[in-house]
Amino acid sequence: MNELIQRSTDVNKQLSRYGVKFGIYKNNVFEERLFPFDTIPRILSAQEFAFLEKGLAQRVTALNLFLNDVYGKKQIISDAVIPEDFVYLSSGYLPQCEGLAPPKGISSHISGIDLVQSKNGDWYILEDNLRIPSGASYPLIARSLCRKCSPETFRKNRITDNRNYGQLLRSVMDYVNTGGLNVILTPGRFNAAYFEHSYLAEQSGAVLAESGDLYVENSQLFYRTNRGGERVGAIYRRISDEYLDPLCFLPDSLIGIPNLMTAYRAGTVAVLNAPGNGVADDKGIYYFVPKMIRYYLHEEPILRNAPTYLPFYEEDLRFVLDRLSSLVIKDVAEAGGYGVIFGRDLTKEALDTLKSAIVAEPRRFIAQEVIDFLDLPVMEDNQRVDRKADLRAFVLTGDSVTVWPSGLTRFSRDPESFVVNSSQGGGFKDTWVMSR
Amino acid sequence: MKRLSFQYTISIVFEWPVADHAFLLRCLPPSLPGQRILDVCLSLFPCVPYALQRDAFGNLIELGRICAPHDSFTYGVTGSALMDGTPTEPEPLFPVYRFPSAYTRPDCALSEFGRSLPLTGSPAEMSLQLAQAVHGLFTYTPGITGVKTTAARAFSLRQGVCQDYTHVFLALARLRGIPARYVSGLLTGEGSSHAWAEIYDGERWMGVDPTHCRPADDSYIRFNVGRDFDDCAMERGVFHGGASQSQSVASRVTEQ
Repeated sequence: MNELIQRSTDVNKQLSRYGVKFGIYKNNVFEERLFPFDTIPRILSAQEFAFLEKGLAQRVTALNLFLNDVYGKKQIISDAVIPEDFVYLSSGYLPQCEGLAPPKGISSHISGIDLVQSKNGDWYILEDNLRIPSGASYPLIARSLCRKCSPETFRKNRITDNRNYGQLLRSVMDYVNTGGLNVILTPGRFNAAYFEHSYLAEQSGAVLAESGDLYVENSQLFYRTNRGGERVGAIYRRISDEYLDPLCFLPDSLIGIPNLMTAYRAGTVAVLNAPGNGVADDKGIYYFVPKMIRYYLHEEPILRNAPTYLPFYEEDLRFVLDRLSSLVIKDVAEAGGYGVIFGRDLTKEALDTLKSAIVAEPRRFIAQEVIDFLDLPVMEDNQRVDRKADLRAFVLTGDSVTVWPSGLTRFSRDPESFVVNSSQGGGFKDTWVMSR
Repeated sequence: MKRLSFQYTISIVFEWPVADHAFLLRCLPPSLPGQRILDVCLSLFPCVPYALQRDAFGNLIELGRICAPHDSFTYGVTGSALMDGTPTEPEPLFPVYRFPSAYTRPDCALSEFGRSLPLTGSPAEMSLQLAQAVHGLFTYTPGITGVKTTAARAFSLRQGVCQDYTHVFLALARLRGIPARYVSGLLTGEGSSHAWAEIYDGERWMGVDPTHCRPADDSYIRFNVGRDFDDCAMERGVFHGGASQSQSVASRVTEQ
């Protein structure tokens, strides 16, 4: 592995040649940044991965059942497991999706589940990403470049190959495909994850398309070719729900496909991931995921949530107000590492302001215990330093539920920061799952 | 019991020809308890095929696409309805009608006003008191508000048209715990489409018209329901071409 670490500059040079970039908007200006790669991998033993695999598959299975239920019979609400406020006031809940039955009953085909490991080795779920989780392409391409730069490392270590992500994605698309092309819909090259869209299209053999390449006619989705329209059977869209169809959601969207939702409702095309999934990865709904697992699967959750309090409940509200300075507070409406507040960083006045905000709108916030993350070693100026890191695991649901034997390990470059998110300027690592 | 014949035509004229025009219409009234559609005919110009579907709120939608360049788009509906006075049937509540929506989310002023209203009696009685309050507050003024005006904005203006009356009514009703929804349709004696509200009394939906301050009776033909105007818009379209557009509406409902 030392050889690989020495080749760090080479690997990063290769990554930038391949255009492995991350675009961010800062003060409304689009900036493309290289996503710094650290060659020291996160290593998961076969045994540890097997444990995570079981827990993640269980969680995603329950989340898929919840999505079908919430846009269908709503039994989990009528059985009072989840208060209806948390569903209908969630910004991810889309009434336009009521009564929709996704092909093969799958709503979350590609799920990105974020985990952290605490110092004592326990794993905790940090959040679920069921809309359009990005990031699989980074460890995927990093692995193949590392193999080129240091083949020796991969001969000596027994690492499970992760280069099958494209095939996994393809088999999920094929499974839900209603008869036609597999398409990946990108908003275009100015999107933060454009590299990923094009790379995944290449890896999965899907057609990379922008909205102008697609149209809906007679309740069917077509891809424009010089021989006329070709039917699309599955569309992995990398556009968020509100921009997906200007005739159903935001009318000003220029990157969506008019009437896509009617084709979807007619059952003529599979949309990955299903619109409306945001209701299940809402920070408020997160609290209820362990309850969902018990409710739908009659099993005990294998993986734990970080200890979470809902100010919505009177008892939790009092507790949160009492202990605010030691908790982390999250605004349920924000994503990408924004709206995360550590009580201990706040002044007396700021704490009071936050308290009154929580009292005024308790539904808007969740509070969590701060988890003491296990630090991972990172090379910085030829020195090993320890940094906070998390793990995004990718769970693919098609014919069966598969956890990709790898994942995106992100680390914070700021030693003081507990927020690990690529939108906040961190770096990434490969995640090795050992084969035994 | 009465028999109404209705006619509703919208013409959109584009300054320059547009192409690749995808549209979604909600301009066919469904048969409902109390409202039996005897015959209905939709005509489109340019004449293109359209598909029929129901949306998540149960409304009929007609969707299609005009590929060739065109400088106008007209859709017209004619038909007749038998309004037999049958009360609406009990049905379960779709809970979204309890919560604020994009157009009806109250601001501080509207919430304060809503909380200050003394409402008494059954939901039906309360809804009429609310309609009175909105009616008393507003001066009917066309041209001040537009299709994107929210309830909060209309409330601050104290002026507007049926859409604004209805949005403010919905905001207040939901604030006071009465599930309520937006209805778009036609009304005898009006020259364009009309909007009013329905409230849920715990069992069934009942129409109330805040603009005219009265219950919605058998002279109201229901087309669409939803959380607010956005769910009930009779027409939505996107096309290629940067043309500005003007729209004319002609509508007539007469008793036969």
